Amino acid sequence: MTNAQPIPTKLNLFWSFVLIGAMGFGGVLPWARYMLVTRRGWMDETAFTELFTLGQFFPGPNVANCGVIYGRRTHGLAGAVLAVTGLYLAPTATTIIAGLLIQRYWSNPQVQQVFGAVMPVASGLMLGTALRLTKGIPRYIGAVGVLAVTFVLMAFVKLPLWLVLLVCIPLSMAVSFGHKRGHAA
Amino acid sequence: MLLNCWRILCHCALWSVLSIGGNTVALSDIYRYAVDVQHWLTGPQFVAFFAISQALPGPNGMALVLIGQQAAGLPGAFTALVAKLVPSSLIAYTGASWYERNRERDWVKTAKSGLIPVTVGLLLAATFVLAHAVDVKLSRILLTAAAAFVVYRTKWNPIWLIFGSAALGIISALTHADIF
Repeated sequence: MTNAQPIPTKLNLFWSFVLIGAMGFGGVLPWARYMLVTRRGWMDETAFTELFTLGQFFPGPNVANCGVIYGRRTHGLAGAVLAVTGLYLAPTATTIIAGLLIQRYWSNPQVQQVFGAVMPVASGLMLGTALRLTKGIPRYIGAVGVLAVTFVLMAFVKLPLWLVLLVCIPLSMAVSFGHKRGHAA
Repeated sequence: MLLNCWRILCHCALWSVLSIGGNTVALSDIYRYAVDVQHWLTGPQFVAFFAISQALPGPNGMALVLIGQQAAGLPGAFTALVAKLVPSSLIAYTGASWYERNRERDWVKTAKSGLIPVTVGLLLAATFVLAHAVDVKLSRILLTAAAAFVVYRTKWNPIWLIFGSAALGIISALTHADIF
């Protein structure tokens, strides 16, 4: 990484995140990479990957976190606020318009047919994503057990999320650290 | 409405903090609260909101804004937006430099990999809840299976699956076949 990478002005930062939010069909990540790396040249690929990893580490939307972190790096609190506000400007407008339309036309039978096809596919996208992620599960019985317990508590017992996390995170940490110690010994 | 805004504020803020590993891990809890507890919307509406938020340009997780709008109109939408963004952004803002200093430490790495099974378990639960709400016909079950297969086995951009299914639905509606 070089130190010669340009620092955007506040207006430039804001406007770039407006564009990222407005163009982000099918997720904003590819557009964020395109804007920050390719089009503006504010960072190289490695720096972007590092930024994204950092954004993923924290709760909440990944790219919004990236905006917070990059905005903070360049213009402090003002930068963080500008980046996130810009990112959500266009999506908020389109979402609210979509919400008004759907409230109005939800009971229409044709609309029901369209959503009858779209909703199962949206569920399928989630299922496919979840299945892909199961490949990343550490390959030992404890990790798989934690996954199963989390699933059952959430989907069947229907506990609130905070309670599930309160049970499953300590359990998962115990399993993870126990497994690591078992291998070190 | 004010009461609903307050409920949206508290719960969206909670989900914002708890959504470790992305927005979608909180989805089944959002369903439980908005559909089963508060009856702000029906199960199929919930899944429709989720589908819309996937199809529209912008970050994921905008379904909460739609739910807020359904529960309390425009004030509800903006309450949901602010409540879902501010807490997690504050954590990222204050935590970023700590994480950059400590991420190479062994315990941070172990803790991070320890979170993965929980995140994936929550994601599978969210999938189960969504599919359970909408897959009430064989044609819908087949669509879910096909979409899951495509996502699992190919690198296609999922947006085309959403648009493709919308096209199928329009054909079904125009021909009065009522398949879905």
